[in-house]
Amino acid sequence: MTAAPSIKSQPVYHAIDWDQTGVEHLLFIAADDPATLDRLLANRPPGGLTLVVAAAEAAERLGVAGVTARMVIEQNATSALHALESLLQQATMGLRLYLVGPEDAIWQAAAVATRYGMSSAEIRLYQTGTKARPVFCVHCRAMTRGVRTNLADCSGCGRTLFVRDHFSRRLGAYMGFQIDAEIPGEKPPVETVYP
Amino acid sequence: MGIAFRDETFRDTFTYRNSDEGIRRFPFPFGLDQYMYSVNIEPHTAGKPDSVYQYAFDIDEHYIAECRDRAITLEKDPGRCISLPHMMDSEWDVLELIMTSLSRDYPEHFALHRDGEQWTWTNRPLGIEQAFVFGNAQTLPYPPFEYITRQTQGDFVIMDHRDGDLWADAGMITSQADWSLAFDVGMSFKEWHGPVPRAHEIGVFDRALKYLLMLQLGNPVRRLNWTMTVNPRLDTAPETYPDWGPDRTSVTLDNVAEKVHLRVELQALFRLPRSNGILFSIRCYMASVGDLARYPKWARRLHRVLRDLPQDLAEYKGLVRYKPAVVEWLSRLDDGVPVPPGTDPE
Repeated sequence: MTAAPSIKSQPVYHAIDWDQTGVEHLLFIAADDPATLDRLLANRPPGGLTLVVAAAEAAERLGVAGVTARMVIEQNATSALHALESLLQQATMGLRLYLVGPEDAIWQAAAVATRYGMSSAEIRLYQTGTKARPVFCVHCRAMTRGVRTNLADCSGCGRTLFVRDHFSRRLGAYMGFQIDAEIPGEKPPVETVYP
Repeated sequence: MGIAFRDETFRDTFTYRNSDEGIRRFPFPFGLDQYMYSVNIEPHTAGKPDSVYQYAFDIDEHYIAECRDRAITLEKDPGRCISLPHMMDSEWDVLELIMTSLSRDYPEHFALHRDGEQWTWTNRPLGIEQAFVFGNAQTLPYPPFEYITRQTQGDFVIMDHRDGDLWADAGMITSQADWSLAFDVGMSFKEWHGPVPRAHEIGVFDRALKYLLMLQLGNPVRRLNWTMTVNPRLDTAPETYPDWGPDRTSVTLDNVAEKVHLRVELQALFRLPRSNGILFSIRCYMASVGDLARYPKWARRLHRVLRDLPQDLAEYKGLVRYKPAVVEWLSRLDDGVPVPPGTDPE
């Protein structure tokens, strides 16, 4: 268990389980997590199950293990999000969505699902894999993805952003602001804090 | 008698000043020599005549200049006004609440004529006369929430009440104490207040949320919050931090009295009738440390509060760089005599 975050908007993830009230289940996998996935698939929920897999190791392992669910295998998170979107276009009431992977991927997937009318009660998220952060620049509103350090250059305006713990579920990102706005050049050392 | 509106600026030339009356009615937030977070909520009932609590929405000598400053900020960044698509009912609720309040409380400046759904709004200070159909957004030059809040002092958030929580789903935010609507819109009550130190741990937001979920129509409530700002700048948004951040390094013992302003938010919450949402109004008042110190009681109290402010609160409020200068300047006016409880200037 991780410690409670210092900023309450930062999500806390608990081990996920199947929602027994669901009629159809869609499991989106953006990083392999054998403990979580094997536990879930050993105890399948009632109703149909579809897997969208964007993690090569997970796809291979689940294939070898003979998982019999409908499986959509994609090469990366971007194409997996498109695959999720086309599945959601045909979805009906009673669908439950399970998102397993790095925060960047699972919150982008949650945003897609929200666009298709799913409520937060129908979506379960579990963070696994890299802790790299998507960062929203509060100055130019550009998104910088895959940030592993306390400071990052904004992909939009180039400012050196400090990455806060303040998280927006709607944007699926942490806030970044210019670290040396008060005294230009005054910056703490760069450290890898989100491995 | 009408209000004498000042011609002044909140940026570049910073000609903003308070009249003597403006200082006297300033909502000084410290009733004791020490400050700590609390759920300091009280009914937003009519206060003393000429106080900032007299009416639901206080209009003062800065009205025209503040509306002008808001228009400049929106021109530069339209993202300071956001309303999620499901908020249209509450937008009309807010327009009705503000128009009826202002026309009732300031009849010399505002008028509202209603004939069924055919409404006519008159705003004399800004020279506006607008006929429109209530409920038909096409008949206004802006969406209803943006339309009326462009003509009202203070920031506004509309909170949607659902799933046992309050969601910050709309806002007009151009005079905020360093929080971003573009980032925070759509957040739950506790997510939105996530960055506030200490208050979560002592249960302030649990109790405040519980209290606000029970808020009744016709029984608004209010509280004060505060921070400090270098130069009388309304737009201290994170968005423009690169513009105003450097000001924090400009304070010296010689200029602190004029440059550093106590910034107080009169926050009020109103249940809305149709949407069942809650309007959160955040009315910002600024007074220079020098002007406040003209009242010896306030000089002593402000000195003691700032001197003893816990470091994490000073950091959160962004005071760290210039607080020593403020404390040193005020210390010369504090002879240590006890100050009676209460916020009144005398």
